[in-house]
Amino acid sequence: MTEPSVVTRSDDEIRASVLTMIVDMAPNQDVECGGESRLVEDLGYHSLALMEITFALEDEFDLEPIDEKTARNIRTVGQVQDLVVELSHRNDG
Amino acid sequence: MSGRGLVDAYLPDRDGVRHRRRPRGSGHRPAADRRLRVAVDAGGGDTGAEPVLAGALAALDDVDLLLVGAETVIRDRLGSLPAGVQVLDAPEVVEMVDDPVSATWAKRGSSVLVAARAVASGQADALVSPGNTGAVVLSSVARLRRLRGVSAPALVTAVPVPNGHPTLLLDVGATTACPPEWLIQFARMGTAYARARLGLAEPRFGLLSNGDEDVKGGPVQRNTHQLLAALPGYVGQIEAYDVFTDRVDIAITDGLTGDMVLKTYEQSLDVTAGVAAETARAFSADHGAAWGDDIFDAVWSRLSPEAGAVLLGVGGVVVKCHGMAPAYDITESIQIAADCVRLDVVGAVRTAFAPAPRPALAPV
Repeated sequence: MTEPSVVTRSDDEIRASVLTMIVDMAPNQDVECGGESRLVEDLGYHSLALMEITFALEDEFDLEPIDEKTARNIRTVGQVQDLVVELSHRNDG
Repeated sequence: MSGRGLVDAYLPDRDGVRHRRRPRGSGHRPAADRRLRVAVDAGGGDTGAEPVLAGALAALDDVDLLLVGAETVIRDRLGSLPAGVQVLDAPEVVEMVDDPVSATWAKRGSSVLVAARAVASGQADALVSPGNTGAVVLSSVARLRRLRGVSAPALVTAVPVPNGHPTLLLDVGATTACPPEWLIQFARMGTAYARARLGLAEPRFGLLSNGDEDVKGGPVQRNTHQLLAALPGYVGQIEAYDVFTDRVDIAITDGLTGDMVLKTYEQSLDVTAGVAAETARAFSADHGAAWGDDIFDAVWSRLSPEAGAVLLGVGGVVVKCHGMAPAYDITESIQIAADCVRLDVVGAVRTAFAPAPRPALAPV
């Protein structure tokens, strides 16, 4: 029996994909975005959009569910990237 | 129900009175060869699984079903599954008393969240839920995602207009406070929906306020009024009673106001029909009881809004019906959902928000 192929991504690839998703789903479009960009103040992520991006990241990277408190404490794009990388490593482990 | 069918359902019958026909369980033809499959949230209603399951099964002539909820409960109620019915186990429930935000984060196995994922994955073509409204909206956004350019989705329903086609009212509960930008998006979504579902080429829309003069309304209404003036089809601010006349095809408001307008209307209708029925019952000892029932049913069925509200602005068809929805409202909501899939309502809204193509460069 053949094992299903598993796509492994490097940390840099994960960070790049997270950034692309955050920019793509941001309520405020046409805004310069980098690791220091703030989700709420710069990109316009209201509570509905925060939930949407969180669930989308869980699906994309096959993560365990992220709880509300963790999601609400995240302020910047870089913090989202760090979290996804960390949770992805947990999956690998 | 086809797009034309929604209009027909509200036009006068031979007796000159507009009837909103109760679902008949058939009469729709899928646009595609395959039958549609509608996911039904069997766990979220106020009155348990029975009316949801009964209403869903009554729609089997028209669509296949994916019943989402506690599998043990569903199988216990149904016994052997009829042809065209599948069950998806989702034992958790977002209760009506739950805070929808916290519950959606915490209850990942809730029936409404699982049902929304089934639509997102293509396992079903649409979702019908009588559950917690906030949870339905949040689950739909989380799994189906907002369409590009849409800040917040809105629930739209059709309310009757004597001797005319219905008026679309949105938002009726997906939001609470709305900035002007959201209300403008509601106007664009409502216009796309009116074209797709009612077949109106140039829908007229108004902004619900406390008067139609420019000086009426609070700050949000006044700012929105100024911004809407640039859009074709805008007739200005309107009174609540205009919703039930031929003045507009679409009435725009925030979800808090829309919900109150809708529920006030429904309760007034219920009370009025009850008084008329009671009067008829007192009129004749022999026939009064039957007359009273007939009058109540006639008034309610001719003047009641659609049984389900369609969530506009997300990447799939979602219909929210009352938590206390009886079986026939579930059936009608499923038919509304199927109608929206066949008419590609999601595609119509997506197109309305698509960026305008760049003009072609002139040859140098």
